Amino acid sequence: MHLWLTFILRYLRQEPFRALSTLVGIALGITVIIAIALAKESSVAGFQEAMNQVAGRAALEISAPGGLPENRIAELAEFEKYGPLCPMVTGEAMTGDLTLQILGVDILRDQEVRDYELVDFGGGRTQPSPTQFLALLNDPSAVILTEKLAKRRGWKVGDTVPLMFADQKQDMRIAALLMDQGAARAMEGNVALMDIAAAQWRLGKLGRIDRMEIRLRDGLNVDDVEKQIAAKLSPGLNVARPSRRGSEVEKMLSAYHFNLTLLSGIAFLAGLYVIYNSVSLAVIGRRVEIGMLRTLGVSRAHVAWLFLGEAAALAIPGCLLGLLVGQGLGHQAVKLTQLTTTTLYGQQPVFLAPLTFATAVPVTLVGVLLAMLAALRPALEAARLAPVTAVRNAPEGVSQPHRTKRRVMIALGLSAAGFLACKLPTIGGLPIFGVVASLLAVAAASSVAPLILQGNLFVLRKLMTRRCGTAGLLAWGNLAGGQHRLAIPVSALGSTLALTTSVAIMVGSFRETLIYWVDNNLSADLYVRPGNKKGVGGDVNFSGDTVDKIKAHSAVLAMDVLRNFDLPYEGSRIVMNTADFQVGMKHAHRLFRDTSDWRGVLQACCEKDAVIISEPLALRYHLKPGDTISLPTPLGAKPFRVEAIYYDYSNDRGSVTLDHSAYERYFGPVVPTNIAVFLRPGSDPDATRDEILERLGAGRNVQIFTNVTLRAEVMRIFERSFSITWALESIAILVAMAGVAATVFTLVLERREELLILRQVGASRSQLHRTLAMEGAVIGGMSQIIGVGLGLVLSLILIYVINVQSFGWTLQFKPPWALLGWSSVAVPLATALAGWLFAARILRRALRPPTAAPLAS
Amino acid sequence: MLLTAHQLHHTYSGTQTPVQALRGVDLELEAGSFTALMGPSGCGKSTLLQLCGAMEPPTQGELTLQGVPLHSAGDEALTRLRREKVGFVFQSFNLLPTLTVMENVALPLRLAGRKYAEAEQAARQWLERVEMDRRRSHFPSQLSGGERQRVAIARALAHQPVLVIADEPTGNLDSANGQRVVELLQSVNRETEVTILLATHDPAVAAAAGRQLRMKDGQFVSL
Repeated sequence: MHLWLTFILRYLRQEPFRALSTLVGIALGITVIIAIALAKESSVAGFQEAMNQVAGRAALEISAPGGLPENRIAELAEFEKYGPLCPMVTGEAMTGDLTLQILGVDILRDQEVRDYELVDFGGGRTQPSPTQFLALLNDPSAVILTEKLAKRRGWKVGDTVPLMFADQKQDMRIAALLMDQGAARAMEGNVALMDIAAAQWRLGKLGRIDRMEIRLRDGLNVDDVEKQIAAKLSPGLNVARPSRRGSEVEKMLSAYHFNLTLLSGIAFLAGLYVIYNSVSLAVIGRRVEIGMLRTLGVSRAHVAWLFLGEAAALAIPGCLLGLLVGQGLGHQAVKLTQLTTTTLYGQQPVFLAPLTFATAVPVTLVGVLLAMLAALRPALEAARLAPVTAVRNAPEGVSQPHRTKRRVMIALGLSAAGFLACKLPTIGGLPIFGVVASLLAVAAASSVAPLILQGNLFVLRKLMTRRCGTAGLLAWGNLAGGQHRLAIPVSALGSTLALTTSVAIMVGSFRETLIYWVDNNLSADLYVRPGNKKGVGGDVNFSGDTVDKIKAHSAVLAMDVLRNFDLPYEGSRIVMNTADFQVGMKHAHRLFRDTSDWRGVLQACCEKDAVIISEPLALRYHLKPGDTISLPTPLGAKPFRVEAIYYDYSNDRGSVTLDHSAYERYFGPVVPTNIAVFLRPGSDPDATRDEILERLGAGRNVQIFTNVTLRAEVMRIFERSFSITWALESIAILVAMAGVAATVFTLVLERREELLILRQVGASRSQLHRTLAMEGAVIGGMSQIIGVGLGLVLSLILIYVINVQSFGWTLQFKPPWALLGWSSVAVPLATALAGWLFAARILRRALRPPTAAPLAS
Repeated sequence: MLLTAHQLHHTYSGTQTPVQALRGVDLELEAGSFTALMGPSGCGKSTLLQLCGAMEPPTQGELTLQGVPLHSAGDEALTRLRREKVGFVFQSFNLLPTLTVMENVALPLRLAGRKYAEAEQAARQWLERVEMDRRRSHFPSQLSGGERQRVAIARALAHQPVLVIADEPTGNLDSANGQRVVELLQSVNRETEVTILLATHDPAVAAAAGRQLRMKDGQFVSL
């Protein structure tokens, strides 16, 4: 401990820039991991917490795919022997930018499951009787809000609040306020209680409820009752604990969350490289001191622990700082991921999950352990240094760059292992082996990085020594002489640039693929959806006569009335679609994976009650044309033949689409959630859109996109979905640059005396500046060469393995060459600038008028 | 006999052409003796010192220190021997720059498991002995060359080794400081009876030792 304090900590204090840049590197890595962890937790925990609070004392719930028809409620009466049954209708309403969770309950029965206490009700009595409750909500325009929400918004009982339900706008009167307990706590108090009939009407769910909740009588075992009810339920109905919905959401989001974690890990990986780099530089720079320690009888293990301790000394404050900053940036991460979780998965984060010990402690421990692991190699190299190093002052035992054959063999071995890993299937639906393949590719590139450096220096020799003046000559000499040191930062920056490049290539390819897909799939002139509908799935329907009013417009040639909603499938949720295939055959266009005869496919679906499924569904559940998929329907599980697989980039959960006629037979009436409108030739889409909106009147809340605006909206969502990616990438680059800056700084610092000699023999400051800037540019340039080369390999793994295994999306390989070109200029420029700035700083500090003092020492 | 070497050979094979640094050296050092090795650069002086100081085993031959065979000892045994029985003084001082003068001198004692106060007390005695007590809180970078070497001598002696290896201890010093260091080594040798094996180019320094040996091409030659 004493030696660690004096030999390591004091050294770090003497090299504050290196220590600080390493610490900041780790801190930034942990920051993004924590911010993303909080964002992930927020998207699931908010839902789960709200679900638990709303569930109250309900132990089980009975539901049906697409909603439980009211005419089947009677058959559930026999289950009242297990406890009281309470129907529930849920949905969302908006007021301004605020989303309210609507709870439509049967007031007379609901207090069996949930407790409600009202503020200042009945002269101090806060607990209303069921009939008093009924009296409060007997007006379909009455709503009970929470005290918390009312306080935030300055509302009081009797006020009127404009709410938008699905496609309706309705002024609702606040009948009472719920105290902050039980269900009122859900969604941070953004809850509105309504009578069940009013909720059905407003939410477009007439004739069905979402679920029937059961509060079990005392002494009954939940598992036993669940089994008994399941055995008696008629086909199409299912019973489960409320928590099942939480696990479905978690599973649905797992691939997205896994990839977010991977992305956030890039910055941390860059931080580990910085640690590796930092400890390596310390070992190389202190080899005589290490030799001296060994001479004094310090054992090899003790030396190794000292340098592992250095990594820990940098990682512990780095991790703690990262925790603090990460928590602060959690809000930003939630904002950046919100659009994706809402659009693709229908999950809106309710609040920022707090940073708990359960998150902070493992992240810190793993962070510190990984930092020590990153420092293991240089620490072992330090341990291998012989005591004679103190006398000979030779870099014995420190890795040499000239083991060409061994390095090539290692790289080939790692590449082969990576190739094999790409062929392996997912684990639990996650592309673990894809990630392993990427890491192996990075390791392979790191192994040959010194050779690439050596080769490039050989190529640059003539140019630098003959064409770039004295500065070039000096720079080349320094670079060639310090190859074994430079290999580490070049490899570190190169790997981080490669990860960034690969993601840039993947995103660029995704964009091109999406444009192609949109061009081939969006064939309607107008797309209409309820104002509250944010993405695919969910259960936000058109109500009343909206559809008829649109159809009545003279410019409308045909309409494909669509419905999509979440369907539980194999423990997760997929999107169930229905469309009018006859309309589709006449007016639309679809892109299928295995056939171009899209009309034939749709015709076959109509004739055989077959379905078409999206590519993500096919890949996730290993389905192919001709297979059978068993879907839960209100009539029970029904097998459907898979007729074809279509490309679909609207969600990664997987979609199944059925023609209207078959849908109505198995699922009931088509309650529309979206409408594709085909206009008569010569009609003006913008004018028609405006006219339809006018006809629907101010009381309707619908969004109408023209073909052009929908394309723009798709691309806007795409760009915003990847804003988190760019943010994480930028931080990773920043971390890597911090590492390079530390390296350049250390290298310059160690050459103070050499620089002084150069000054004494007549080198000008600007010549030395140019030398160091040139060295920086070469370091950056070589890192970029590794970055682009390795990035192309990694992008292939991302596009063809990780992306396909995570999301089931086939992407065309379309690298953004212009971006790669620009980055190839920007990276060397940035590192040249770092060299220039540090040279200026060092020269100012250490090389005041050229004296002979340091030489004499 | 404190140290005996019989037919020592040592070859450096790290480079493309192996370099034979020692070619059959026989040496005996009596306890309490002060021996100086002389010879031109590359004659094998430093290599012999390193082997005698248990820094590494010879590639061939027998070498024992207080009866312990160094030629067959593993890394752990050599480390323990260095920690307990050997002290080193180098031409370039090799003080640890992040440790103060006091900490540098106390370090071998701390490594040997002595308590902090005990180690400090012993270190302080040695610092007084080399007249560096007033500078005990300074860092090596704040000392002159002669002062650094005196601290290095204190560190080499603090844990009461049986053998002190001094490799060109005056090589980086001016003549006045060099003389002072030599006198210090002489007096320490007299007072503590520690055995000193010193390598030098300087005949004046060698003259301070009771015994002089000359080396050439990895072997002893007659004076």
